[in-house]
Amino acid sequence: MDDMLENMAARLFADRSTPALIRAVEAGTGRDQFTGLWQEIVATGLCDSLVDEGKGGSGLGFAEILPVILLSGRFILPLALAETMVARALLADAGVSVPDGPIVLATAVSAGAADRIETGVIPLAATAGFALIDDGAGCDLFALNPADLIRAPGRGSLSAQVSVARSTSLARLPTPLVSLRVVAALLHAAKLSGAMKRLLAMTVDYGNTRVQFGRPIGKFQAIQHQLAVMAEQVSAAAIAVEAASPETGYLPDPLRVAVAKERTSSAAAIVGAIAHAVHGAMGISEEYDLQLFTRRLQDWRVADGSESYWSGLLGRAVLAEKSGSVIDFIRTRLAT
Amino acid sequence: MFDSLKLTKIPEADESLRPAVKAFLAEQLAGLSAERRARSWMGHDPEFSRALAQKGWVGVTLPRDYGGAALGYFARFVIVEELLISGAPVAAHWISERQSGPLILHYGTEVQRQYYLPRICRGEAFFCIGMSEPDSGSDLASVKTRATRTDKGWTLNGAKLWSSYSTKATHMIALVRTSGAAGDRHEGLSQVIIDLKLPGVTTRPISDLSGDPHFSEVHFANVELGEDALVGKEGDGWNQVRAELAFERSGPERLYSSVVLFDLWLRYLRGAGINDDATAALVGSMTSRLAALRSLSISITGQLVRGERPETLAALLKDIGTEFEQAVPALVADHLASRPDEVADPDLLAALAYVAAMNPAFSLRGGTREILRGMIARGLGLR
Repeated sequence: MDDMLENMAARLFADRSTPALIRAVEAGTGRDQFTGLWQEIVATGLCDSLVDEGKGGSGLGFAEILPVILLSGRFILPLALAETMVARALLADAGVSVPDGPIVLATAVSAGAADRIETGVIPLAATAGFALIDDGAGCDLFALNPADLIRAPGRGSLSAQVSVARSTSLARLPTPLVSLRVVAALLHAAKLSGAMKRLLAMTVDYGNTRVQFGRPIGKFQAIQHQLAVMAEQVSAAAIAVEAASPETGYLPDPLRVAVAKERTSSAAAIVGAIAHAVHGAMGISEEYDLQLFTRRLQDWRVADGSESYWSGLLGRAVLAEKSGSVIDFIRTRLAT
Repeated sequence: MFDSLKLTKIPEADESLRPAVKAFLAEQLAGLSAERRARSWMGHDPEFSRALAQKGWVGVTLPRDYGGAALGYFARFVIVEELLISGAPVAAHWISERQSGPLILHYGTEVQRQYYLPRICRGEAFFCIGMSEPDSGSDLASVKTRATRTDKGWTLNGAKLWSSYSTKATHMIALVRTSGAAGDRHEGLSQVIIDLKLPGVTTRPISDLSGDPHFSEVHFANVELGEDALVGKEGDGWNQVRAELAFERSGPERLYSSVVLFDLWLRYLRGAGINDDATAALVGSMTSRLAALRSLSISITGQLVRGERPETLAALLKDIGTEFEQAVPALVADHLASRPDEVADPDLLAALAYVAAMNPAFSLRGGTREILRGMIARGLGLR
């Protein structure tokens, strides 16, 4: 991806995905604003970045669009842009016409009646127009109405479970080569990485400006060492996301995604805790922006499987090898 | 800080060295016990170092004119990675290969290069580090060992402590004061090469808690050094040491000190068919941590290749890398003992005993956790 696209996305998100907008969306009063923002995003062509050039898209590889996904995390964009990019590529590849609106990616859970499809908790389902749901044998596209959503608990959450009648499927796609859970896990790993870099910068800035005992608290070793740990976690998470991002196409390798999601989800718990520890009482006040980010960190950490889910998946693959060093496994199966 | 952190791939040409290195090590180390392998880069065997040198794999980054292989840091990464996962006893040549050779190449005179570098590459000159002193640990700038000008060169007095394998090394590169007093901090420090057979040098071995006499104290009583003992610029020692530490801190040895133990544990789990959910999750999380750290290490190696000085990132990697290395014996011990009715194989238990005892060293050698976190904080703009 050229820097132009990244710079354009950075400007758009900085101008429009503001704390004020996010607060309005969370309060349920921002529908007009986020609809307007979505139209601006659509106008940039970003939504079709991963769609084949022959099918009217930009034909970019996932790694090329990663900077935009990181930015959507950095600005905690309250709209499922990253998910829509993948969904549109899948729909285009299946020859299904693309609906107008954000599309979330979801996995069906086994519970429930045979004529319905239900999902786990999906971030940004509250602001989405559609859901692409993988039931293991194929994917269905559904339009989302407020009645289809079971909103997640927690103040300001934009996550929801989806429950829809199978008969309302707008289109059925063949099973992708990689499950939607894997793809969506990588998207959430990338958003976590982007948001955690922002949190580190916010926390360093706070450490340099907040004065106690006559000097900025960032001058105290106790604070410095916590921020160093934060930087370590953010760095390891960031490179794991890069390593999982496919150069071409948009379907990642499940084991590399396992590393990316394990690292980012593990880091999210540590990074969120340190950010709040350094910010003190200010950080847990509603009017301060920190909580907008750390609440989203919690959502993304558990979306599409937490660190333990992906550790288990990766560990079973390591144990299934008959012999060889763990480094040989990492080198041949997990590295670029 | 993150702008320079790019996902980097080891080039094919360097990666292609791997099979030959693997084959050589499998043959050379066939009879080496698990407990010896667990010593990782603390295992000392000059014969092995010379055999490795004969293959051309000591001093690989040094130019051919000086006996090196003129390969890059990625080639070195591949060789070092294979040495570490096989538990090869590399300590004899480790310091010369990793930092003394590159230091002499970079800062040394042509005469020094011609003399020392071919000897390093042949596995004849084994260097040790002379940084810490009885009263100077983390506060390295307070060193008191002093080289005083004479008409023929320098007279050296003082003592160095905790120098690994100096009892078996041929040379030391020491950070010493050449002007000013300890209070002058970073000013007035220089690096000198000391032939450890010179009159006035006495070396006393110190056993570590595993019983290995691996480190030592070295005393200098009126040791006469020639003019050519000085490496680099007089008074520029602090700056040179900082550059040296970027090499010392970013390599795979800061992630892999426990990898022999990790692999022995995996072998046991696979052989005994232990693959329950908790075990899989533990193996997976450890593998994931290590995979990300390896990517970081390769990324920083890429920066060294481009001639950058990634001091902050090297400190960051060493801190998080050694945290992982230290976690491995605790996690493995807990896992094994979570099944109190099963007895693990003796090789695994022997390796575990060594690594569990020695692992505090991992975050001490090459700069303590506290010093590294201070460096990271400076890189973040907090100091």
